[in-house]
Amino acid sequence: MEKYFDVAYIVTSIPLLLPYIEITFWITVIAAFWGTILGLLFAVAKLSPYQVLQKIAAAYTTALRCTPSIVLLFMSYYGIPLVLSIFNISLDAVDKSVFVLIAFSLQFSNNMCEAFRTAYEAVDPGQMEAAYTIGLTQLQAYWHIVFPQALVVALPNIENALISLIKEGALAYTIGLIDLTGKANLIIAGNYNSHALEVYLSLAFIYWMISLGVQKVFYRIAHIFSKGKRLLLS
Amino acid sequence: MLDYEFLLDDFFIALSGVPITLLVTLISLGVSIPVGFIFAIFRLDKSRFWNKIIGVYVSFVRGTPMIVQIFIVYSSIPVLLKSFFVLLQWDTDIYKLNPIWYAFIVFSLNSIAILSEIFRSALIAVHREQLEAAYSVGLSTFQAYREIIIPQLLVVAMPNLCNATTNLIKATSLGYAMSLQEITLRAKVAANANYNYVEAYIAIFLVYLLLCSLVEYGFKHYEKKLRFYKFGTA
Amino acid sequence: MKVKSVLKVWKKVIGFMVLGIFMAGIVAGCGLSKTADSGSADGSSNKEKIKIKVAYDQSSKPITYKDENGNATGYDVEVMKLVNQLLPQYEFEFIGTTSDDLLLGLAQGKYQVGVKNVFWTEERTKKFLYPKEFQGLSSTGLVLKKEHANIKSLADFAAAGLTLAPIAANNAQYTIIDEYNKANPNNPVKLQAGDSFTVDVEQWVNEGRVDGGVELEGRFKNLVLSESGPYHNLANDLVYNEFTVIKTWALFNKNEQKFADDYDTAIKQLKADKKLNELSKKFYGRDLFEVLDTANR
Repeated sequence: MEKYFDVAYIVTSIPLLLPYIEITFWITVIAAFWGTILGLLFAVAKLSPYQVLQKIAAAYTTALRCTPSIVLLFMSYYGIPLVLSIFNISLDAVDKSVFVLIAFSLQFSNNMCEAFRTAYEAVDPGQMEAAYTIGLTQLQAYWHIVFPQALVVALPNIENALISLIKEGALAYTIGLIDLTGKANLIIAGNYNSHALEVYLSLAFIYWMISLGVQKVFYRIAHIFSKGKRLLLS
Repeated sequence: MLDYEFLLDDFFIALSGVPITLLVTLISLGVSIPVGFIFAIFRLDKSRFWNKIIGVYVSFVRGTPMIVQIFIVYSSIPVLLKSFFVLLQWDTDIYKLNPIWYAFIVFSLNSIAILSEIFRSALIAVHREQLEAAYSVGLSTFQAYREIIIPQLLVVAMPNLCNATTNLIKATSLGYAMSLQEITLRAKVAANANYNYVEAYIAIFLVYLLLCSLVEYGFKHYEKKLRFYKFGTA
Repeated sequence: MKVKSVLKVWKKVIGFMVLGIFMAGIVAGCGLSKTADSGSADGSSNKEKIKIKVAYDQSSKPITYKDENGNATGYDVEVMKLVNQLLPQYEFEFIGTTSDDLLLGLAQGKYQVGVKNVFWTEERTKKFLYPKEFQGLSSTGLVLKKEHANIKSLADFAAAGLTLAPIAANNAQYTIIDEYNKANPNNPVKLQAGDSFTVDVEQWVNEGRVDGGVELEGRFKNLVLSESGPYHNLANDLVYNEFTVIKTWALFNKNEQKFADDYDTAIKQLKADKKLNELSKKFYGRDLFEVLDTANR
């Protein structure tokens, strides 16, 4: 082991990798934004009384649940331009980050859809009635009563979805996007594929710290809201 | 546009990778269900030392991308194992091992962490009072676990186990990085001759859709059977 | 009272979150495009120039790679830069990508030309256009342990029953071995497809994980033989045995015949001026054009 393992590579690669947190960050934030909107739409569809909408939403979530991220990523990157080329629309000038964002927005929307649905179902329908009796409109009742409680229930799932989004984002290297993992692979290629283990260890360390940070933030948020929950229940 | 003939061929090539995918999944689950369960009990018993160690391990696995874990294990395990064998003075040539062993190791290490979390939360849900109740009717700890706790635990944990299993199946698609001859790699190698990547990924997508739907269906079926326990003991 | 204040708190938090995410969405466009890959050949904004997108494999040092500052370089890339100097009517833009994407993007017309140490293979002629002039030479060989130094060819390697490190299936090295196997069905090399990032040929061979790996001489020189190479400590344990010298090509999209013809004239000129020999020395540590007559494909 000592013949190859050189701690110096771990230390020197960290500062090279750190600037690329920015790319990973933006990919995560934008995919989370669109994924949340899509997820909300599909959750509404799933909970709606219309059979057609329910069926469409169910098919959508099943398909996404069963697709490995890497397959989704490649289908987005190679498939979308191919489909649009039938209509003579060329996407040659479109940056690859767009396809990465599409793939991961879809993936995230699926997790969010489930999070929203289970959270909504967890809120006691009696709460709505109670809200009406004190004179709130339907919108007010959702906004003041249902939403805060559902959010508390949904938080752990949202946290999981976000962390898995950050982690799955690592696969964007496979289509050549230079994010954290992409940069790690460039560093390794720059060393002629040597000392890969050391670089991957620092990469893992950075991801680990990011995930722990996200967990911290969610812990805080949950703390704030669970206060509200206790008050609302009493 | 699309080469449908190749799509069909490649679908069957991808299908031929299903046994390897299932083998890796089953072995990993076979290892990680008992180990994850033991880890979960260790953590509940609040013995500080083990709780900390296992906690760090779980947090690392959950906080880092699967592909990075694969990179790390794939490049370090052989050397580690070799020095381990030398230490034990075993005369085994580790490099004669089939690469599938690396896959067993990577995915087991990953699933142990995931499943120990699932079991831990399930144990919290059924543990304490049930155990005391079992003692009060004169059961030993072993009997209590076998007769009372584990059956209920399975009911509580089943939806999460189903998720973990489909996630594991999807994660094996990253086995390409370890030369694992599973669905994705086979279909992709076949596509290389004519660069039919789009067709290949559609074929791969269909195979995973089929596989995961079947697994989910199986779990749902089994869950229904298990529900018996929940009502039986309620 | 208390309920109200709590509600206020969380409304504020939600408000900030929504605002934050919206802002993020707006800024993100700039953030990503700023950091996105762009390596245009020269800054002149001459409108009548024909734009050419040159794709290169960004992680295949020393043939084509992104240096520490994110700039395209390597033997193949530098040749293309010289070609662009001789063809002022074109404007090259270098786009770093993966090997898969390079080939597929080239076939679809996203890129006009691609470089990544491309070998000539029969299948590729159906999807792509090869120019008449080759672009470089590549010394391809086996990395072996010293005790296997007597193995000089694929046939020796196969006959000895040795194991080979996996090769990415879209790599032409894979095709070379595959073709050898088809030509020698009685004495095949054990061939496995893998991922380029996870296989560290020199380390694997040295620790005995495999007996040998296909490698390019330039890489081996910089990695092991060079004093500053990361694996110079293995210099006494490993050998590189060349089994062939192969011509490498720039690969064109099918519709780029005119551009390919212009490219041919430029490459002829560069060869006559011995420019390529210089680059070969610079990146591969050896003027491979001296052994041109041994190249059989």
